[in-house]
Amino acid sequence: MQNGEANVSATAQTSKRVSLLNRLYGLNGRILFGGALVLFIVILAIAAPLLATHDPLRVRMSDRLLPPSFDNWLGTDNNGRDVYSRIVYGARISVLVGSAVVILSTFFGTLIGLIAGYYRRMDGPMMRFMDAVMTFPSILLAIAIIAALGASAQNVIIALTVSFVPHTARVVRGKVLSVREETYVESARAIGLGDTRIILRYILPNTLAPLMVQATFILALAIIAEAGLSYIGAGTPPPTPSWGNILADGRAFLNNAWWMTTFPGIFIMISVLGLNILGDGLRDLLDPRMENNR
Amino acid sequence: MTYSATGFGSQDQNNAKVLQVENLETHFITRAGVLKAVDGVSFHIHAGETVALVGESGCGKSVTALSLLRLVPNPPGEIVGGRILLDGDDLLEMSQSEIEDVRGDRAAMIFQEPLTALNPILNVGNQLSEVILRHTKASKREARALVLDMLKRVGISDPESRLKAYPHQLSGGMRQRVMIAMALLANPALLIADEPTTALDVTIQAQILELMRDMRDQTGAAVLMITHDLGVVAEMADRVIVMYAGRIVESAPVRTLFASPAHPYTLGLMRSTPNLTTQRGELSAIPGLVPTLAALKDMEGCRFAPRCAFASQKCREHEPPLENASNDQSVRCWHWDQVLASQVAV
Repeated sequence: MQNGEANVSATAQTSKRVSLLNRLYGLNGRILFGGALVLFIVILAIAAPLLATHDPLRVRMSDRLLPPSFDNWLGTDNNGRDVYSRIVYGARISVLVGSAVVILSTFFGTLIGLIAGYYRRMDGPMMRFMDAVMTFPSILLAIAIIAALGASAQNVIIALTVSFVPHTARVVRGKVLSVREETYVESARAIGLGDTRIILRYILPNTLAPLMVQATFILALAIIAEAGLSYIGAGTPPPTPSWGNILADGRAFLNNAWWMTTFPGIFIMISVLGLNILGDGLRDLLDPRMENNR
Repeated sequence: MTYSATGFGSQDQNNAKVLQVENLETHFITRAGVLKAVDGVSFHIHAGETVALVGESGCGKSVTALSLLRLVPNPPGEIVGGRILLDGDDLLEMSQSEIEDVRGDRAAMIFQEPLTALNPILNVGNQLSEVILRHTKASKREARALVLDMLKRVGISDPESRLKAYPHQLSGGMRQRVMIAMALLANPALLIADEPTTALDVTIQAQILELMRDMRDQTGAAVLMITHDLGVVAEMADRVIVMYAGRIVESAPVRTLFASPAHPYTLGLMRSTPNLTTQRGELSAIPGLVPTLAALKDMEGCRFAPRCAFASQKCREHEPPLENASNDQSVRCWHWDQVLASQVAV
């Protein structure tokens, strides 16, 4: 009997750790797999100087259009620059632009969504304006903004933020509309809390789940959009490497230098795929209706 | 009393009117027109007294309760007239920040469904501390100590570990105890309970009602109990107010009301509730439905007349005033003497 009791208390002590492990296992494979792909790209961006084998900007015309080899792992481009090193440095632009857009559009989108959802008088004017912005395809809107501001990483961030804010605002507003009718918001009012505190302590935390899912999808969309803008010359200006302008450089040599377009394409695919898988996994995890599947 | 150290336990149950409601009118402004959900309601509650507000769904009892703390959602709801005096202060004349200071402090509310009335992402400790942090200058640590003490008082076992529990980890009875703890933390003079036991099992209901009775006796708070359960009324209330279609139709001490209901609607409510003494087959229903608020607009005469067995031509043309049937029983009916007489005959 004593033995059994000892076991019970030992179990109680470790139960916290065990449940954490269980949670990790319980996280569906999609979160782990998607998260690993995203982590890979982020590490690539952070450790670019360590991982690159060549200076991504060094031009050597004698080495132009070399196929992948032991020396140039992913070949060289039409200016003799190492494609692998350029892709590694290009990851920095993608991650930088992607995360800046996510942070900015989440911040402004949440602010607008909270105000529009909570104060019903603001809802009409604010959301109609958001709808108007949303009617422009986001790439087209971004091109127009960049045409006005000039092509640079900073302006890409501004342009993409403007075009993604309405999407986040919509998601947040929708969730706020349902949360504000919950009894616990009424009971918060009944204990004397004011609007600001109710929004920060009761409404905002309960909108975080859909917000996180939305953020991962916006990150993926922003990476694609940045590459797309750079590809058509409206994004990161050369010679700074970005996945989009590496692709653009390779366009003219599709017939004799497949590596110039294939590899940046694969990296774009890995990051977007990883983010989408991660977002799907998060949605399943955070959606209360999927509770039984866990 | 053992609780005097915490500032509770005022046994000074004098006859001061804690709450006095005069001619309260709450309207909902909709596209279909103005709906009078609460239409000229007046009542009062003394310290330490429990008044039950009874009626069918849609009779205006919950809106009355929400109006008391000015919690009726606006738009569409609006309190258009009357006075609500809490210890003499008119709540309807207060500014937004003044009424927020009153809520949870001088007047608190217990909700029907404790699971949805607790924020799912705050644990019990943080949720309850919120009340103290809002209304006093206590530190987080002091608030926590007060919360712990209150959880013990409402009979929550192992309160220290419950502080870290989230609402979904508690049973229904436990959640309602937490709600009661939250309402009592600031020692309110007025406690409004909106169907506090409706969502609970019968056995848990009895425990929660007993807890509420204990707490009322300890704190001397005035309690307004919203319910449609006559069993709860008999168990808890000192006086009963019966509402029908936005109006008070009868008001009486609980014994008087059960012994001799003077309004045909109250009589109908009694007859449609089973108890140990009713004969088999005797249970009756009130015919018809509560008129919708929209239908009331064009209605002359008594609002209960279409469903009433005692109704006469006079009832259909003129609405009766609230008049005294005896010195502590008032009733809104032209024929209350017939209603009382009919019971003697039976």
